Amino acid sequence: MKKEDTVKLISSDGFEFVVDKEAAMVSQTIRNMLTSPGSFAEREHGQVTFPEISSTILEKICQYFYWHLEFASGKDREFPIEPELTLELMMAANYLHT
Amino acid sequence: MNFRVASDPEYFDKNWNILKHAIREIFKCNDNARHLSFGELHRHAYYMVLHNFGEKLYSKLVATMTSHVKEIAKSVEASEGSSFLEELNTKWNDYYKALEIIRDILMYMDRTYIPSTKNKPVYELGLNLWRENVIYSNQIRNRLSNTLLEFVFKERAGEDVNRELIRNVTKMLIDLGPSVYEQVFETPFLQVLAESYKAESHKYIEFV
Repeated sequence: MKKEDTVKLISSDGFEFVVDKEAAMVSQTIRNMLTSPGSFAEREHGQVTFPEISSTILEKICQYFYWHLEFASGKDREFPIEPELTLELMMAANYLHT
Repeated sequence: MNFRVASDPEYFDKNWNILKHAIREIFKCNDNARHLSFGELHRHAYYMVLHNFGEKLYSKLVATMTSHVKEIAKSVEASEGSSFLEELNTKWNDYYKALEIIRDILMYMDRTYIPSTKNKPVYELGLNLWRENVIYSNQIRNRLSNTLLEFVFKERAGEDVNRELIRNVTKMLIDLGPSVYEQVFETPFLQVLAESYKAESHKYIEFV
């Protein structure tokens, strides 16, 4: 995995998730951050901080990114969501446009 | 994610000032935007819309963009002679790039606030402002038409002209809408062309 092809997502509590750009760009918000014509800090450093998303939620989101890619290529697997995460996940999904 | 309730009466102004400052930096199109964080700007805009400040945000955006476009119009109007087209083209390229960035930052507003109103999305708003304030400015519209025609006829007369520049400017007119291209370039062009062919054909007829 080359460094240019990945992006580091940082949760509010400081956990770092390194994922493929392709996966992260399942989120329209992250896609805009990484592709917008301006030379923003995120693009320069290849990392995005989410001061309002906890590591538990961000981990789930990263799993979802990969699940989404697999689903798009025809692999239909179950995506388990713990009931206690739903509300926060939904708010994060709204924010990330996922 | 936590919902911070915006009970602070200065909430909007504080956040808007951050965005306004950033938008100005983006319009300057220099490297200053490098220290800006897309995520932070997007987050400010996101929470403003979430807290029902969509309308206020939109009207402030319109005001900021309008004043910027008017400044551009002035500087294009003031450009002298042959630098006119170049000035217009450079300013357009910078403006277009900035517009794309602003649209991306305010994507949440475009997605949730705009569809429930009659307002135009950011991108369209930007093109409209440019058309009304720059292209249709009294001191620009005719001058632009004439300069383009001049270039075309210069080239026909065998002079070297900057084709790239003409291509870029006519492309801008098309981007602004087919009617803009027609009014500013196509119609006057066909008119002048018809006259020049008429004159030329008369010359041949007299020859015979």
